[in-house]
Parts: sequence; structure tokens; C-alpha cells
Amino acid sequence: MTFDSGVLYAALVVESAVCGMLFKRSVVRVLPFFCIYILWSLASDITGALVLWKFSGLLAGRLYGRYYFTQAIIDSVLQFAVLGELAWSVLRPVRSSLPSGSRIVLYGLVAAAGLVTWPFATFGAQQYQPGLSATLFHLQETFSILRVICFLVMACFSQLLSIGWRDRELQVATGLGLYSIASLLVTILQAHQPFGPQYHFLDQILSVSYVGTMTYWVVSFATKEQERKEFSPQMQQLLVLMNVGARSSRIALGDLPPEPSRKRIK
Amino acid sequence: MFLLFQIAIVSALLLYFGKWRKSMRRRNVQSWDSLLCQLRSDWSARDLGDQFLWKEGLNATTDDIWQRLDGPRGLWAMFQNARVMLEMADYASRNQFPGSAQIDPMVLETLRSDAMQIRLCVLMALGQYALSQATEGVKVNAFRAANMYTGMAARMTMLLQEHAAVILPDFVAAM
Repeated sequence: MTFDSGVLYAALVVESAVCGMLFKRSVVRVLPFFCIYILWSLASDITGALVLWKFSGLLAGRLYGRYYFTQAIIDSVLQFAVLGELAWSVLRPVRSSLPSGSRIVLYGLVAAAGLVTWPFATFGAQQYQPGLSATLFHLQETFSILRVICFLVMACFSQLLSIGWRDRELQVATGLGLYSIASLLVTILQAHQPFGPQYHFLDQILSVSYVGTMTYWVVSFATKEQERKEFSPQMQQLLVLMNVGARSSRIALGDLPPEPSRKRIK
Repeated sequence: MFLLFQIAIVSALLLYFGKWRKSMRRRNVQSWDSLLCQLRSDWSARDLGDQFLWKEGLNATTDDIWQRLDGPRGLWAMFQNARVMLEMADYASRNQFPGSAQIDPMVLETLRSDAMQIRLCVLMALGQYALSQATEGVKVNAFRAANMYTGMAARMTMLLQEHAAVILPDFVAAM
């Protein structure tokens, strides 16, 4: 068994384990696109392994090339959905104060960031002849930059406004963020490498980091969320009174009408 | 050279990401008492309270507020205390038992929204101050933030006096 096939089998095992943990912990209710993305990764890796196993020689290479290109496009669309979903779930505490249609605007912003990134993500594509491979590399490079940009913006924004992340969202963001940074680093290094064993070695490092990310998720999702801490009636009263204080100030400033609308958090 | 520059940027990103992750994790596991201890007590909002101004017979103008705020120092203290208030709201939503008498989600929602308004107003005021010193726009933003903040902080102090004066004597005294 070669190193590459070993990593592929390891990826299949951990992807299956992550899928199992996602459904066991009901993450699908909170982050459905993320669950679909992991399921898709598992399915596409199994199909890729089957293509390589069933066919041999030049035919396998050609078939795998076409298959890889198609799956990379679907993968990118799903990644886009996951980024939007994660950003939206971070905004959960303030969602009800956002105007309607904010979700669409958020996805629009991610898409706009992708479009802005596309022309600049060319530092490694010059090694490829124009065609499918160059487009594929350009697409992957764009998404690796876009992921890092999105995580950077989310982290800065949540720190600036002091928005908290729930444990599961934080775990998903940690895994995706680390993998994104690793893939960006590999892309940068590959852009300065000619094709050859060293170029392939960087690919192998990226595959290992992918398996590492999946393993991190298995361990995180296997750990139960922390137990609730004490929250006494006095603490509750404190928050209610603070709220009354701020409200009356905002009414005095004319920011709010005297009677609040009884809109509930979704 | 360019490669080294690119690697340095990615390494800086990795470092920032690690620090951010650590702070978020710390935030999720902290206790109520450690949260209260983060309230800044070295700056007093006492001079900003409506009651004080009424006693003094003053009609508070933006200039008065700016002076009583102690300029950017007071703004920064409000910014940090508003973060603690947001973390209190997070603590409440995380640690309420589903079966017990629950705090109204509306209360948490408005608390968050108010604390965020304070942070935004302070950020805008600080940004403007950095560019153009204490202009009227800076003072208006500071006034809005101070008004909301004093409302929240005064009531919080009342309750802390009753229940947690031992934990936070400095903060209670400062208010």
C-alpha cells in the first residue's frame, strides 16, 4: 500500500466517523450545510477511490480528471454554503435585531468576496497550461483564500462586537480555519515549486492535514458539551434590571418607542 | 523574498487565529464570578448618572458628558464593560436549565443589542477622535454611549450592592 492510498483509507475512516458523530450529536439541526458537506466529501472520496480501483492506465487518469473537476465545482458550491451558514449561525444572538433579508445579504457578501478574490488568486496557476487544470487550480486557490478571508472577518467582527460562539460552532470553525490556513500555505509553496516529488510532497502534507482536521472533529464531537453552570435567580434579576436601565435610556434618546414589540427570538 | 513575506502573513494569521480561538474558549468556560471581576472599576460613571446631573441642576450637554467621561479613557472603559455585559447575556443563555424559570429571551436580546450599541457608539467615537480630536460628532457618539451605559450600570450596581458587594467592592464603590 502506498502512502497516498493509506491517507485515502484513513480519510474515509475518519470521514465516516465524523458523519456518525454529526448525526449522533444532532449537529444537522444547527449546521445542515456543514453536514451535507461532510457527507459529500465522504461520498466523493469513495467514488474517487472506486474510479481509480476499477479502471487502470490512461483511461483511469482521464476519467478521474473529469470526475475530479466536476466534484471540485460541487465542493466549492458547498464550501460557499458552509461559509455563509457559519457566519449566519454566529449572528444568532443578534439575528432578531437584524433587518429581514440579512441572510441573503450575508451570502451575497461572501459571493462578492469570492468574486473580488478570483482575479487575484493567480499566483500558482501560471504553471498550468490554459484548460481544465488551470481553471481547477484557480478555483481551488480562490476558495482557499476566500475561506481564510471569511474566517478572518468572522473572528475580527465577533471580537469587535464581542459576539460569543457556541462550542460546536467554534469546533467547526477551528477545524475549517486550520485546514484553510494549511491549504493556503501549501498553495503558496506550490506556486514556487516546479512539478515533481517536492510538489507532490506538499499535496501529501495537505492530505495529512485534512485527516488531522477530521480527527479533531471526531474527538471534539465525541466530547460532550460542558455542563451548565450555576445561574441563580439573583443573576437573572441582575440581567433584567440592566436591561430595564438601558431601555429607558434608549427611549429617552428617542432610539426606541416606549412600548417594545413582543417579537420572540427564533 | 516575496515567498518569505507571504509565509510571514500566513503565520501571523495562524497566530491570530490561535489567540482568537483561545479567547473564545475561555469565554465559554468562565464562571459568573470571574466575569464580574472583569468589570473595570478604575473609572467611575457616577458623574454621568441622571440623578447626579439633576442634583447639580445641570442640563447635560455633549460637552459636559465629554468632560465627565474623561475623554477616550472613559470611552474605552465603557467599551470593555459593555463586553462583560454581553458575556453575561451569553452566560445566561448558555446556563439556563430548560425546565427552570427562564429569563425572557427578549431581555437577553435587548441586553445584547444595547451593549452592542454602546460598543458601536464608542468605536465610532474613538475612530473619529483618532482622526479629528474631540469634534461635535465624537461628543454626540460619546453622549449616546454614556447615556445607555449609565442606565445599565446604575441598575447593575444597585443589585451588586445587595448581592455581590463582597466580590466587587471596587466596582460598586466606583459607581
